[in-house]
Amino acid sequence: MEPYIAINRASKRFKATTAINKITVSFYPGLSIILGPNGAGKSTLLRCIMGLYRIDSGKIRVFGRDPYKDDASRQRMSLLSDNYSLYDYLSVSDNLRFFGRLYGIKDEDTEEIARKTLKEMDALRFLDAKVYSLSRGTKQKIAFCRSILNRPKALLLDEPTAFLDASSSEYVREFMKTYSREGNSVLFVTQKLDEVTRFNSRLIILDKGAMADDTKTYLLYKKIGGDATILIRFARPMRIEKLRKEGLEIVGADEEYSSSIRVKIKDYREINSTLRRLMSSGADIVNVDYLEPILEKMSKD
Amino acid sequence: MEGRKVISLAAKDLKEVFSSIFIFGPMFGIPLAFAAFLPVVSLYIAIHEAPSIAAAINISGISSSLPAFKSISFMAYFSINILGPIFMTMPIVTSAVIAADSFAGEKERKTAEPLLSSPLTRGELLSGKILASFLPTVLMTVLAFAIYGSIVNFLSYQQFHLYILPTASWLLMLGSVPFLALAPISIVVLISAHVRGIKEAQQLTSLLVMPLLILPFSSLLGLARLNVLFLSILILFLALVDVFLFYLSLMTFRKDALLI
Repeated sequence: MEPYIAINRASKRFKATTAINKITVSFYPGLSIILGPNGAGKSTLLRCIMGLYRIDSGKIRVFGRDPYKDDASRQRMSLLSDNYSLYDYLSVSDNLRFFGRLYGIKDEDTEEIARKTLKEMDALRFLDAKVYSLSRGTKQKIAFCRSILNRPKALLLDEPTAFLDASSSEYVREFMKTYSREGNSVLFVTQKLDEVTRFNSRLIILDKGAMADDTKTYLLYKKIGGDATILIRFARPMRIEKLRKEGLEIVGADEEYSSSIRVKIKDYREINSTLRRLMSSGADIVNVDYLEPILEKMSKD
Repeated sequence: MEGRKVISLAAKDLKEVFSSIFIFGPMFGIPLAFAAFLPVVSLYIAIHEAPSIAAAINISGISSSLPAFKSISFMAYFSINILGPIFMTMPIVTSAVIAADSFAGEKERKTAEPLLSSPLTRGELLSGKILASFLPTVLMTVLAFAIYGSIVNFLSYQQFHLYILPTASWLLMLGSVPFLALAPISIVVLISAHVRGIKEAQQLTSLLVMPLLILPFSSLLGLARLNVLFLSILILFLALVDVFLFYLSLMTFRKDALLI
């Protein structure tokens, strides 16, 4: 099967900065997560795929076409950028209708998609509101809605859940899973491990503009390897001294009681034993998470 | 090129411009107010100050007029040679303001990305943006000329029982409006890759007004005569400059200029 998106040794520089460096990767129908720290070149890669930037060397083909030169290739693509990029002085419906028209979508169809999507994301009541009056999260919902108007075969999402509330974030995640199973290629860019581990999909790790790894999300913890710090939250404050006596390597925590602790671990498998020890000390654990900047550390490894 | 997409883009830009009275109010209100106010001033000067001005400055056609006709001559002279060039600056300023907002504004407000991510072609993008800057500018200037011409005629008829406008020179000034409006738009397109925002684009294009402001002064000083020949040559010159700038902007415009 021909890849939807084929990138061959693509490089893009901005003056002295190399944003992406000889990247070779192909994307087929399905969900692919692109992970990397700030400045890894994730957003630039998406923009190059969309044909917004002319690459300095290499080749990018989307559905067999050069997206920079062939404007029609973008008919089947869509990009949700990390800023919402909406027209502040227009209403939400005017914004969506305008973009719908650029894709040749009838206003009635745009409205139908908008109503359905915004209702799911609890933003339908803002349809007639001017964009400048909306919160950051609502703007992101509108921008997400815009990105799926043309039912793109290649959907590129740059941090689509960054400012969303929990239920809307979950809606977007479920949408990505379902949509990618319907024969579409979804590229989901994030810098949060927390997001990555919610999916069972392909994972591409970028670092300093280059491909650091092409793996699977479930292999991520192996990749993280040793020496990480996890954050554990409790339902009620716990006495730190008592927890130290359990042999946990607690980082910081100067106070006597705390509702959360940071614990150093050597391997992801240590999380289970750590939690067991905490529970035996009477802790009610409500949340466990890797602490950033694990991503930067991972890419250095 | 799909006309519907071009019109959608132009309509979107215009809707943005007209979305708030604070945006379009000063842009259109001030020139239109001047269109009503300046003819009244010219009549006042024509009645009360024409003989003394004519004595101080040697303007052919006024100084040689009989005393009874000095005011009429001055009114006619002022309405065409002074007010005309002033109103000719309007298309430059207005189109520069709208075009700067349309091109550099997308860059400054970071709204260009989804626009460029759409299947809009380079030609459709440029056409839509140019249309959005060109149409309201020409309409506004024609309206300003109509208001100022009507008021000049109304006042002159009330005072002197004759209509001063239109004259061939005045009609040629009106005819130069589309050509004057197009040049700043092309320049904004040309510089869009090099400016960071609206203000820089506006500042640079506003410099275009300077040569035009020379016209009324050179006319007052007797250095130029805004007659049919001069204005015909001016239109021809502007048309050539427009074609050159438009071609250059089409050739050099890169869509990513709105992003970087």
